[in-house]
Amino acid sequence: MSEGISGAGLPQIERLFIKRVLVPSIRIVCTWNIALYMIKREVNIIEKLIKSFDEETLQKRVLIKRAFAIEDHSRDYSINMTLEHLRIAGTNIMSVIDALSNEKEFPEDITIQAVKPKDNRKDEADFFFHFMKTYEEYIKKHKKNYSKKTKKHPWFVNFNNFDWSCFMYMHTFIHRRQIQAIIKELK
Amino acid sequence: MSNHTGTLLRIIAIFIGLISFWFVISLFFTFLIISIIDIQFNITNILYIFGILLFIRVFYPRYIFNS
Repeated sequence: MSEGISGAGLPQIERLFIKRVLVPSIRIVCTWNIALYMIKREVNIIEKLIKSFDEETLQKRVLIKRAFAIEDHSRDYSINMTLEHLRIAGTNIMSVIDALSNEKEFPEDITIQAVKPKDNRKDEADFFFHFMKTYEEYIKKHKKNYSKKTKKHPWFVNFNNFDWSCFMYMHTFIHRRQIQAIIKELK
Repeated sequence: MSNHTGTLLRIIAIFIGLISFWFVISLFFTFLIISIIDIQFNITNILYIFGILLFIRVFYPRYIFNS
């Protein structure tokens, strides 16, 4: 059912728009606290969007039309698979932020394939909201420094710890839009 | 409207919101500056402060085109 190849990436124009326009612009207007506030807002929106669906519907895979910043291979997710992807990627991002904040190298390679959903489990929403709470608490206690050490995103540029926290917000926003597209197809 | 277009419009709206936030911050700085030095509180001066604030953000805390 999947379209495209896992990790193949975005269309060139989208990738360049994000790399050359969005990333520099977000560095000007965003701060640690703004990014955290916006993530909390996205999590609240996701919570409202999915609360009326039963477990079976949350696990149902549907093919959506092309969505901004979503690679073709990820267009056939269920809502739970999207949440699982957000949780897996978010867990990795939190580890990267932690390492970079202490000016340490993050030794592992970051790959798109490694953050693909695997289980599509029925209770994924609970795990996702629990993780987001953990992330929120982590950022609240974070010293909010700007690291010199960076780690490259596989599609874009080298991000420092602050860039990764902004990316965490944009990533959650993009996949919230994916969830909205899935819901539209489910109805 | 397609999801793709809707996402792009929302991104523009988010940026307008964030730029407005920095405009309010520059208003605060303008108030602070006019209380210290003798300049007028007008839109030109607010826009100068706003421009300076965004210009500083280009280089600090990190040069935005640093990849």
